[in-house]
Amino acid sequence: MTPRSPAATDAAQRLWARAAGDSSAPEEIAAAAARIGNELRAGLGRWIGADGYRTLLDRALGLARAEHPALGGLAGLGGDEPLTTAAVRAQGADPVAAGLVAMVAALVELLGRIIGEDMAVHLVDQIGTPNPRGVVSTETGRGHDG
Amino acid sequence: MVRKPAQKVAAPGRPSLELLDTGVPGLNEVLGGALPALSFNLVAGGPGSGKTTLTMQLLFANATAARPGLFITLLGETSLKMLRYQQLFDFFDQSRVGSDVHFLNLSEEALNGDLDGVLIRIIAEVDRLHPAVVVVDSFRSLTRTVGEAQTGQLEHFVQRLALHLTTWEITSFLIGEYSEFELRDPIFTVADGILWLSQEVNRNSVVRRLQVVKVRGMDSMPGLHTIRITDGGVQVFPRTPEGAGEIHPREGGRLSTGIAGLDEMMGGGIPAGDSLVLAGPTGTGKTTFAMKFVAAGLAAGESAVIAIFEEHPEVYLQRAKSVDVDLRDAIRENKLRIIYLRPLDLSVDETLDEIRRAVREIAAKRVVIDSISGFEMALAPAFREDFRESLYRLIGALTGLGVTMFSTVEVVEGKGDAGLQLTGYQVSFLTDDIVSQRYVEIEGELRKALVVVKMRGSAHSGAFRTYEITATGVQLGESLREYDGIITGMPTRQLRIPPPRHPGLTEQEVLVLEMVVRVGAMSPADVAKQTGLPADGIEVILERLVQLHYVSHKGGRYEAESRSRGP
Repeated sequence: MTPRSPAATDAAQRLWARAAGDSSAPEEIAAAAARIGNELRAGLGRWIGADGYRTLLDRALGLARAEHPALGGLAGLGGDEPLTTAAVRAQGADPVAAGLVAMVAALVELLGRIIGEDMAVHLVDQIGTPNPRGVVSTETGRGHDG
Repeated sequence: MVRKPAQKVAAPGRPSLELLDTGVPGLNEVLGGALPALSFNLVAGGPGSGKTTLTMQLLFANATAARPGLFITLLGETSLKMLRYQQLFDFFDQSRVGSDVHFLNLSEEALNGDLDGVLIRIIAEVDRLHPAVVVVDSFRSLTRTVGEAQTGQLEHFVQRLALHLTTWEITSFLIGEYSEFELRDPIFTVADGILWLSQEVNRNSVVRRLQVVKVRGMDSMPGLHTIRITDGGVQVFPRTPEGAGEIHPREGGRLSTGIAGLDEMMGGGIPAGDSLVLAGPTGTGKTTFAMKFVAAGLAAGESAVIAIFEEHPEVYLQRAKSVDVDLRDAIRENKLRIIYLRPLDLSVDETLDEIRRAVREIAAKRVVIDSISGFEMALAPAFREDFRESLYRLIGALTGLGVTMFSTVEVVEGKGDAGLQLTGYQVSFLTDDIVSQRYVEIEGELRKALVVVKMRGSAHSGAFRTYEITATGVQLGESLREYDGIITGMPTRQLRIPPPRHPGLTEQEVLVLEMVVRVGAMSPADVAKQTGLPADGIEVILERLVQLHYVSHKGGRYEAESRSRGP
């Protein structure tokens, strides 16, 4: 097992906490996973494009699956198809949640190898965080005032 | 740091122009003050010339949370790669990414040649962020992707983009790798400003330059300006045009050289604000003279700047101590700056900038360049070609600041060199004063001698005098009046020694007498001022000259008598 860097894990946990809170209900976990997936795609896609994001995510998923078998049975992770409640229920909500946090942590770590860990954490922390010009929309990548 | 917009002062009855502080050191000056806000600009140049860094610096300097900056990548260096390297610069503030400064990668749309798609995304992002500054990198790649066949479509795209960005009150920059033969590209017509960056490699030196091809509404500085990329980002060194530097009125008076006897030979020292060149072959003690000049200034409470090009400062300081000049205290007290410039890709403008900054910071009155020969060696080959002209600008700019300059230059004595050829640079027109050193053979011994060749607008001795470099500095020796042919290096002693012009007079008395003969009726104060001699001793000298019937005293002024004209 490859230990994740504490800063990357902390950033992943913060992102997960913002999306899922304390919930451990399968449907909440599935919804939180969908939110995070969309936000990461929109936020990091600004930097590396959709293709670049997809490549990075596949690598992160591969790393996380090696440590969290619960992710192995899940289809649609990070892709266009949302993670279903049934799939979460089948693997167990807690193992899936832990696996998703590990996947985001791996993503932060991979990103950090290119731009430095501090900057990678900074970018992930900003994802889903409202700014004066609005939140990046999860659907179109555009913002809305608010 | 948030910069306030600058306002260009307009002529009466004409509208003023809001300006943008670029945040790039030296660039505002080159642009004629700053960059017009809301302008649509092109930053063009080859790879590695500093285009991305310059615009990124500009973006960080002007972005705020209310009016952020937006950096859009079309093709070329990906946003992530750019971030990897740009964050290494001092101006890059990571905490401002995503709040004050935003990035957007549109490479996929650009790769598809979807110009409408690119424009829609840019407009949407501008609509969302309301940025003050937008950078689009690299626009040239987009042109290549679209292809020649769709030139009309590209022209249309550029026009629409410029229109949108201007109506959104945005100052924008398109970055492109253009070459000079592409000047007919439609973007060059639409752009309000064009900054052209270039990189020239000559042997082992790399020289980067910037040219303002055009900037609407501003009186920009013509020519190629050196740029250097350091940890701080891009710095522009404006090419100071001749006569365009600051002009400070001369304070008058004279500065001591710090060498007993030499001041008298020069008519009382170096006139304040002059540029003096000390020329001599290797080993004649040019650096020691320069150190003494600095030490004399420090002793008089004046600050100084020394620019050295050959020795490391530590070696230079040790050498100074060996001739009884300790400069370390002055450095600690910020009264002296030693600027050590030894890269082989230096430009004259960089050197000037360094020296000028140091002069301002410590209010220096004396500047030493040791040596001009070393300075030339430190320059990139491209700058050596017009070294004389550059040296002229440098000296003009520095004396314009009101400092007195002391430069050393090494000359190579050729066999049978009978003239007073000083240097390969023909510096005489560059300088006000010239002191020449040379080796002479006297009675089978190699001696050092010096002569004051030129003092612009001032009387001076024309005598050769020997000197020695000792542990306490420079000791002037006897005058070589008895010898002829000194400038050949092999003087011969004259059997007939001509009688002294003014027998029985001391050197100071001769100096005062010659001044009165030259000027006419003078008060003691005038004599002191013109000769640089201490005022309290002048009246004693004048009264002795009266007693010897060289001068007469009428109503507080002294006039030359006929005897003073000599035999």
